Amino acid sequence: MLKIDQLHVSYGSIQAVRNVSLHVDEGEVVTLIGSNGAGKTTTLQAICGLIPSKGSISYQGEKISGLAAHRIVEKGIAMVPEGRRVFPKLSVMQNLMMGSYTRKASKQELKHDLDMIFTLFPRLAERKEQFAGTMSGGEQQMLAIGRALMAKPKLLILDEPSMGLAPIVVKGIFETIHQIKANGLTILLIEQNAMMALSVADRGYGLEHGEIVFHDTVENLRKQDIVKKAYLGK
Amino acid sequence: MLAQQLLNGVALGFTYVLIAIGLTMIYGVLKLLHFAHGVIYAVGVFAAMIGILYLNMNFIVACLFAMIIAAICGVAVERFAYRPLRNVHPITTLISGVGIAIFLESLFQVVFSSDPRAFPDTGMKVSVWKISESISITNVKLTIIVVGLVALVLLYAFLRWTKMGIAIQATAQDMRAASLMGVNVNRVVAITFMIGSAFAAIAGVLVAYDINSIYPTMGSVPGLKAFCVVVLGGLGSIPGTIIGGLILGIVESLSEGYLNGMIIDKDAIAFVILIIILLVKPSGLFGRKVEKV
Ligand SMILES: Nc1ncnc2c1ncn2[C@@H]1O[C@H](COP(=O)(O)OP(=O)(O)OP(=O)(O)O)[C@@H](O)[C@H]1O
Ligand SMILES: [Mg+2]
Repeated sequence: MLKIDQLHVSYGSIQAVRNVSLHVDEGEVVTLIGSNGAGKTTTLQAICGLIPSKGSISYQGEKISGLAAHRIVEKGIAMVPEGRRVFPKLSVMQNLMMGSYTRKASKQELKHDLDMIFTLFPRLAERKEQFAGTMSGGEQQMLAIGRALMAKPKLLILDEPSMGLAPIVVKGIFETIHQIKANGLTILLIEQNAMMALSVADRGYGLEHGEIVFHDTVENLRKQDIVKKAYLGK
Repeated sequence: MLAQQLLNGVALGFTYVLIAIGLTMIYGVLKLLHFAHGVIYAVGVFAAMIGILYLNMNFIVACLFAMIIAAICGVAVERFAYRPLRNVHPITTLISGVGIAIFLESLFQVVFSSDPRAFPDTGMKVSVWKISESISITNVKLTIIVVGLVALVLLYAFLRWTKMGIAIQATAQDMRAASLMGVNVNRVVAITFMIGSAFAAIAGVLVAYDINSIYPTMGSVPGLKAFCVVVLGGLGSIPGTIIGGLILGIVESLSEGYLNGMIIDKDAIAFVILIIILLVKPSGLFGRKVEKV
């Protein structure tokens, strides 16, 4: 579904991502793990057309590198950005409606999807009219995920949904990701928290200093020594 | 006398609000100080003049024509003077804006000469409406107030309830996140320039009609005052801009009524306010933190 081939991204003279190739098949949950500054967000921003890159990125067999961000979103890729990035001075409801910006759906359809999101996140239902900026970090993460789901994407990309959240909240967020996966959505999950990421993923890639250092199915990754030592703390 | 001055001040204030709305919205979305905004106001006035003199338009049609021409010019300025300079140091866009203003003003001087001329005859008469013994208002000033109110109500409804309006707010709050929602940010920017330019144009036409004078540099002082208004209200804040514009209009009008023969000129008051605000509360009345320019 998504295929990245020999991706290179640099900021001025700094090469942030080097020769990264990865693919995500339909129905899969793939995780990309790596520590701070590994180049995870940079890779995602390249996929979403937010920064220029070299190499090829294709989605459903179609080249998307070089397209403007909004055109890529229109094709059915939704992103939950790092740091949530909800619109602080829009209400929860308006944030969710922004999620459905590219859709030409009827009121009924939208209402149906909103109900689905409110069942997934009952907390959001209680706070429809609250400004997003005044919500807690966990609630904002729920909103960011709900907002992305409102786009009815075919591919959902999450950039460190666990960042800055208490363990109990992280657990809740990952339970939701499990549910989303159960609904059959294809997911690319970026995480530092490898333990949580591997709990939901089918395959995983490891990124270090801008390069892919390992790639395997989750079962095999759990057995590998370097993964155990560096990421699972065993 | 006080009530009369207040009423005049409100009318004057609405002209400042109409000019400054564009500046504050453009700042909100692009974090850009649009120094060619004043000249867009003059573009509107000249467009209306041409419409009336050569295209046989009546006053209302000429106003709409002025708004459309100004909107097109505003979008063109963004497209050709600002967009190529995005992601470069903000000072370059500032210089670019000033350059456009000087260029257009000079062009108007060449084409229309720099002498002020009267507003063309529209067949309408200026009438005075007596509200009470001591308070009266001309139909032109009343029109300014009504147009200002209608424009603000329409703008509020647009921003609050339409998809594009909410997208403009979202873009102002987080441009990258907005583009991840599928918002075509360039279109949002263009629409913001259109609205702002159309508002400036209608203000320009009504002021030119009110003072019965048209000249090429007529936009520069109102443009600068609009900056003062925006800083007073807080950059990017629409409510702040409305309050700021009305305050400036009223203060100017009161000073004209009560402080005749004062040391400073009426037109200088805005800049005195600007200096005081920058010293005392640089974020303005309603602003959040200010960024360096
Ligand atoms: N806008 C930028 N300009 C210059 N360098 C940047 C920029 N953004 C990121 N970098 C650099 O690129 C490298 C990769 O950053 P990136 O944000 O992709 O890491 P990450 O894997 O997402 O890390 P984290 O887990 O902390 O979010 C880092 O060395 C970072 O300093
Ligand atoms: Mg990151």
